[in-house]
Amino acid sequence: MDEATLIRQAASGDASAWEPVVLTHQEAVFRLAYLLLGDPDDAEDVAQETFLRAWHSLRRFDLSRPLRPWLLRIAANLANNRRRSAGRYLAALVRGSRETPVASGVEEASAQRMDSQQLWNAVRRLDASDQQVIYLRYFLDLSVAETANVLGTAQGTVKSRLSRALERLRLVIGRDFPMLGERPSS
Amino acid sequence: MNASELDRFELALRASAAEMAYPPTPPIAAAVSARLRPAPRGIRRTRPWAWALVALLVVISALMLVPPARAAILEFIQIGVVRILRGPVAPPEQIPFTATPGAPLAPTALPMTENPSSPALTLAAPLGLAGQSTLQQAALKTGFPILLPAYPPDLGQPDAVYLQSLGAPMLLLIWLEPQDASRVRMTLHEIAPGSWAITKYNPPVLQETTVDGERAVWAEGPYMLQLSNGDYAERRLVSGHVLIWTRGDITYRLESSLALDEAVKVAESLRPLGADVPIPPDLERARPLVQWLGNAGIAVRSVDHSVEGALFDSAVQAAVIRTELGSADVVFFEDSAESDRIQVTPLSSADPARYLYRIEGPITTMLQPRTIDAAFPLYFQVGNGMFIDTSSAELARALQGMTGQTLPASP
Repeated sequence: MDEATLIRQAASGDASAWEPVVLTHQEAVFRLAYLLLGDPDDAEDVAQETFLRAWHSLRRFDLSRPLRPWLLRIAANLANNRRRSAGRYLAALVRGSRETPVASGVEEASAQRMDSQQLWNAVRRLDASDQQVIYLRYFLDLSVAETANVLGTAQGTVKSRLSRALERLRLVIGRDFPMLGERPSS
Repeated sequence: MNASELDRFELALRASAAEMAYPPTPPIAAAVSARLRPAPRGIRRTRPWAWALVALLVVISALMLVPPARAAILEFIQIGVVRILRGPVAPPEQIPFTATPGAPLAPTALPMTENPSSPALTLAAPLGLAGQSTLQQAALKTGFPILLPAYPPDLGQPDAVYLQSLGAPMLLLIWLEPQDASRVRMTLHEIAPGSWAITKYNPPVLQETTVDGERAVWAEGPYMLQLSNGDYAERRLVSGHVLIWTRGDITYRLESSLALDEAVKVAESLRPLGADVPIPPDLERARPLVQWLGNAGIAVRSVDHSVEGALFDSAVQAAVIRTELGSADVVFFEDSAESDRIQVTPLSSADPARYLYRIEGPITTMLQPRTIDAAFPLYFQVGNGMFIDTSSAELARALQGMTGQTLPASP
């Protein structure tokens, strides 16, 4: 059964038709929430809430459009709401304590993993808008068109936002994460 | 960054991002299905360890705010976000001058002034200070009321405003000498917890005093000061006189060449922008807007609760603000990124004496569209986390500068 049919059934109240749709998109939604919030439990909460809110809005969803960008937009909104909550400062303290310094002289495989973690740490120094466009385009590997769909903006705007975000990221890396600029060539 | 550098950077970024280690995806589909069933209500996880961690962090934060009577080795005084160290501690190595107001920093020597009791403050390098702003813009972003001194009487509004938000906001207000704009007369930091922490190393003069009857600390330079926020730190030499106090959870730091009693007078003269209009405690979000209107020369008469918040599922506060130009209903949202996408569509009405408007927004703002039915034309604006409507064209024009986005008012 194709996704559009499942969505139509779900929109008419069939919860069993919604479950396979959730299974298809839960990884992408969870990962975006995790990137934005940095905590797997918070990300799980946001992911669940995303699919519940989407369920309640299915009757207004335009079936001619792809579902995943719409879901990711809901997830990003919910994650941003949660980030601004009163607990954000304490959560940042906890995250900060997890950012362990990079050791030198590690194997290349684990160095690549540390690069990803350090890259994420660098991206998290940017403002929420820059983070969002970088996560969508590079971490979730969405196309420019899909990214534009999630952000509710034009593709040209996505490109210029990306260009500015990358410039700011490069400055952060140069200043605070110099080891990221020294990846071993593969 | 030129095009080829951008391409290489993008490739490297994409390669690293592809190797990101995510936690395993939890069974979200099963949890959602369970919550969609009529009963029992969904899966709620309890995380007792998280509450224990919160409790521990609160205890640690509370301890940091209470000055110990005597530390075993190192004595320090903590007031708000400022910690003053005394005793056998080596100050951090001097690093380049940070351009916050202060005497120019020589690499190895303390600055020499002709009159050490009245050290000169210079705005030696305004470049490098991030977050240049205005009082109007800062009032919308600080999240706490901006206070301005009413003393000395000739002080006026600050010549420069900086708002730096790394985690939480820190506001810096700078007044220049009237006769010499290259010299700083006074600076005032207003620091929210969770933004910057300030550490001062062995000020030569340090005494406790009071501001409005509350504990305050007075320090005289020269001494090293460090501003830090996570991994980011700035250091500079302070040669002026500094008064530090708190009000609520905001730390205030006044740096000048004034003597203690004059500095206390300045501190005790602080008043919020738009202080004369009483604002209900649960409509505190309206304060920046009231301040903004006041700065724009529009007298605000009253602030009361508005029922218009009921239009939106995610409104946090709603106020009706009455001014000399008319009234506006203002709905406040937590997330401006979503509320700024609210759309208003004028509708045709069968009754020519009625005006209909359809309000729609993202589903995290409102689950379904609503309609406003008014007896007069309305002007709508969204921006900066606010939805505003007013029947006053003049007030709408005045508010345009603040929200930056006006929606069509007529079909």
